[in-house]
Amino acid sequence: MKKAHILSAVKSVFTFVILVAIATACSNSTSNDEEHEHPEPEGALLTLNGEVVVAKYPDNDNLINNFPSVTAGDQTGLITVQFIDHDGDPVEIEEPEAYLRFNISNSSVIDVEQPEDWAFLVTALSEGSAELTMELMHEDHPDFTLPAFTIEVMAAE
Amino acid sequence: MKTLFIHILFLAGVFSSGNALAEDSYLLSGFITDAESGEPVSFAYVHIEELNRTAVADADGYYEIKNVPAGNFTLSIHRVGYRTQTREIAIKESDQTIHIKLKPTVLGSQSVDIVGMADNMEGSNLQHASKKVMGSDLRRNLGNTLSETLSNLPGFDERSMGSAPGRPVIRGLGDERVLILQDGVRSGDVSAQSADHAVTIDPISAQEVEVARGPQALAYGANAIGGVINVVRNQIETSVPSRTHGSLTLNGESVNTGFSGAVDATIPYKDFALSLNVNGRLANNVSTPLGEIKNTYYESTNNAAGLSWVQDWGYVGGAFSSYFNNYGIPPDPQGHPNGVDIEMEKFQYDGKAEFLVRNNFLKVIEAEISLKNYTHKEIESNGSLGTQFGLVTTNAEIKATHNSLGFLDSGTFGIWSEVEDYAVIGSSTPDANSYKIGSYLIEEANMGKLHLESGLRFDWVLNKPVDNEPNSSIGNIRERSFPALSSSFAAIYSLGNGLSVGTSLLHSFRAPSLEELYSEGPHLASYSYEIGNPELEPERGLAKEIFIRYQSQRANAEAAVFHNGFSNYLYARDTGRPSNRFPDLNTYQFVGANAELYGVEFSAEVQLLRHIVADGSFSYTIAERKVPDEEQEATGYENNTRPLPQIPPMKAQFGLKYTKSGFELGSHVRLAADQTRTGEFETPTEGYTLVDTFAQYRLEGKSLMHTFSLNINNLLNQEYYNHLSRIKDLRPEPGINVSLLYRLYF
Repeated sequence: MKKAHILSAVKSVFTFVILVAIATACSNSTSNDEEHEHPEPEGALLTLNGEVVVAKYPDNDNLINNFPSVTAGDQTGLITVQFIDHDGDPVEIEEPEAYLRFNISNSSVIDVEQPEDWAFLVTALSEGSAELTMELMHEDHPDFTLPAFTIEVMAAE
Repeated sequence: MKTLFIHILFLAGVFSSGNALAEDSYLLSGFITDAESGEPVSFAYVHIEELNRTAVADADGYYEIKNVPAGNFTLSIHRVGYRTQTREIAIKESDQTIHIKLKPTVLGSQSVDIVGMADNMEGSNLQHASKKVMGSDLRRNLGNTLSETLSNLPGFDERSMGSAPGRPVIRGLGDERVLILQDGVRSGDVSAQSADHAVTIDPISAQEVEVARGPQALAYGANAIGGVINVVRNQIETSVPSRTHGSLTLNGESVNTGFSGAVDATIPYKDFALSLNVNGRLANNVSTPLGEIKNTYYESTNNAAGLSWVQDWGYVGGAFSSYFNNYGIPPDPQGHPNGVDIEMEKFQYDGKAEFLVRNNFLKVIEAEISLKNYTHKEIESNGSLGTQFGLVTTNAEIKATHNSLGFLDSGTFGIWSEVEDYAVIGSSTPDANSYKIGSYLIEEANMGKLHLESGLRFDWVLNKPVDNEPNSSIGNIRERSFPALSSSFAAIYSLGNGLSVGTSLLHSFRAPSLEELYSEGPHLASYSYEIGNPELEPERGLAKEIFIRYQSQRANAEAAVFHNGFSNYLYARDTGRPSNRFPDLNTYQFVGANAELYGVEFSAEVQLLRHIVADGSFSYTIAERKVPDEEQEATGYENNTRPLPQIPPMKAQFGLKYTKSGFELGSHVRLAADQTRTGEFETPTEGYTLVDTFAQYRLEGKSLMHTFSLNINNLLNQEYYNHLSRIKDLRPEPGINVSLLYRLYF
C-alpha cells in the first residue's frame, strides 16, 4: 500500500467524521450568557401597611416572621415585595421574564392573589395555619426562594 | 469550532510526517483446544495486548488475526471456564501458526496461566497493578451502573444517589481521582462533579472492564491516583473477524421490575469491520425493606455504530454513539418532596487510526480524536427547570509504542489534548472553557525476576471563564493556568513458586476543575448550593503501595498496604449553613486541605475440592484531613485531624461455590462495619451483613453459547445503608432482588 493511498483513506474517513461532528456536535446548547446580568437577590422584605412583616436578610440564616393573624373571610392589604442583595441594598427586578411563584402548604386555609408584579394579597379562607413559600422565578427556574413562613388564620366571629 | 480545527491541525501534522509505514504484515492463526480433552474450544477471545488486535475462535476452535507486524508481543486468551493464558510470541517476518491449549479451571477470571512458567512467573508476565473483570464474573456482578458492577471487588465502593447515578470509589478515592474511560477515551460527562450525575457508560455492553493503576494510568491522566477504569466495547474494531460474531443479552430484576436488553455484533465485509451496539434499560421505583423509594425510576439507552477499514499498514475507523438517560432523584423532604427528574443526553463521535511502522525504533503509531456533546437538565416536580449542565469535550491523542531499546523492553509515549466548553443554566456559574495538553512517556524493563515500569507526564491546564468577574461574590473570577510534572514507578519481583512482591508509587497532579474554581449557585438534584473558590491551587498526591501476590493452579491471593498523601485535597465541604438564595439547600464550599488516606486490602480464591471454590476479600480505608489552627479556633474543634466525608467502612466478603461442567452454584456473605469516622455534618452509618446467592449455567454448542445467570441479592431482605449514598439518612438500600440474565454468544 502506497503512502498516498493511506493518506487518502485517512483523509476521507476523518473528513467524514469531522464534517458530521461540525454539523451536529460542536456547539454547547447550554449557555449562561443571559444569566450574567440579571440580579441575584439574597434576601427579601415583605411590607404590609408600611411595616415589614416578613424579612430574610443575607447575613442572618433565620427568617423573621411577624405576619399578623388574619380572620377567616378577610383579606390582607397589599403586601409589597422588595428584594435585597448581598449587602442588604434594594434590588430592582426589571426583566420581563421574571415573576413571583407561590406555594401554599394548605390551600383550604389561605389563598394568594397577585394584582401587581411585585405585590400580593392573602385571603384567609378558614381557621388554621398554612405555610407560604415565595420564589422569584426567571423563565422556568427559580433565582431566589424565600423560606416558608407560617400564616395563622383565626375563626370568624 | 476553533478548538476542533486546532485538533485537526494537531492530527494532520502527525499524519503528514508519517513515513516508513509497514508494508509487510503477517497472519497469526491456530487452533484452540481443551488441554485435558483435546476438544476444540470455541468463543475463546484472543488478544494481542500491545496492538489491541483481537479475534474470537470459531466452532472448530480456529482463530486468525491478520496484519500483525514482526515483533515480540504478549498474546492473551480468555475463555469462560478456562484459565486465562498469557504468552510471549515472536512474529518473525512470516505467517505464524500458534496452537493453544487452555486448561479448564473452576477459579474466576483473575486466574491467569502463564505459559511455560506457570510456577515461576518472571518478567513482563507479572504485569502491573491491574485487574480485569470479564466472563462469568462480569455476568454475575453485572449491575445497572458501572460502579454497581465493580462494587464487589476489594477496595471498590459505589457513591450513589438513587438507582441510576452511581460512580466508582476506589480505596476511598472518587470523583476526579478515578478516571472512567470507554475504549480508552474519557467519558465526557460531569459524573465526577456530583453524586446525582450518572456515568454515561452502560456496563451491559462491556466485553470486559479493566482497572489500571501506577505508571500505566499516567497515559490517561495525571489525576487518576485512585485508578483508571476502562470499559472495553471495541466500538472501532482493530481487526476484521473471520465471521460475524457478537452477543445478545436479556436481563430482568425484581427489586425495581426492571428489564434491560442489548445486542452487540461485529460484521466483517472484505477489509471492513462494522460494529453495532444497541441496548436499553427500563426500571420502576426500587423496593426496600421499608417500602418503595419514590422517584428512583430510570429509562436509558446507549447505542453505537462503528466502522473500521483494516489494511496491512494498520486500520482507520470512526464511530458514532448516543446515550440517553431519564431518571429520578429521590425526594428530599426539606425542599423537594417529590424529588427531581433528570434528562441526560450525550452524542459522541470518535475517529481512530493505527499505523504499523517498519522501523527499528517504533512499532506502532496510534491517533485518536473524540468529540462529545453532553447535556443534562434537572427538572423540578412542577416541570420547571432547576439546573442545566452542558459540556462539549474534544480530545485528540497521538501515541507511539517503541521496540526494545537498550535495557528497555518496550515503552509508549504520546501527546494528549482536551478542550472543554462548559456552561450551566440556573446558577451564577460563568460559562468557561478548559484547555489541557499533556505528554507522557511510560517505559518497561525486565531484568530476570524483576519487572520495572516507570512513567513521566507533563500537563498544562488553562481554565478560562468567558468573562472575567473580578468583583464576583465568590472572589476574583479569572483565568488560571497550572503546569505540572507527574511521575510513577512500579517494581515487581518474583520470589518463585508463584509468589511475587511489588511496590508502586504515583506522584499525581490535579488542576482544580472549572466547577471547583467558578461554581456559584444551586444544584437542585444534589440538594446543595455550591460555592467555588477562584484561588484554589492544584491537588498534589503521593500514592504508595506495597503488595504481595500468589498464583497457582489451585489458588490466587493478593494483599496490599497503601498510603495516599495529599498536599491540597480538593473537595466540596458541607458548611452546614443554608444558602441565602435557596434556604432549602445547604452551601457546599470547595476547599483544599492536607489529607491522607491509608489502608489495607486482601483477596483470595482457593480451590478446596475438585468442584468447590472458596473466595474472600477484605478492605479498610482510613481517611482524614489536617485541621488548621485557625479552623480550630473558629469552630471550637479541638483535634488536629478530622475524618474526611464519604469514606467507606471496613468491608469483608466470603463466598463458596460449586462448579461443574458449565454449572455454578454459590453464595456470598457481605459484611460492613459501622462507619463512625464521619466528616462535618455527616452522620454515622450502621454496619450490615448481607447474603447473596447465585447459579450460572453455560450451554455450549458449535456455533452458539448460551449462558444463564440467576442472582438473588440481599436474600434475607436486610435493611441496610450505604455510607456513600447521599440519601442514606432518608432511604435504605434495595431489598431482596432476584435477577435473571441470559446471554447468547454467536
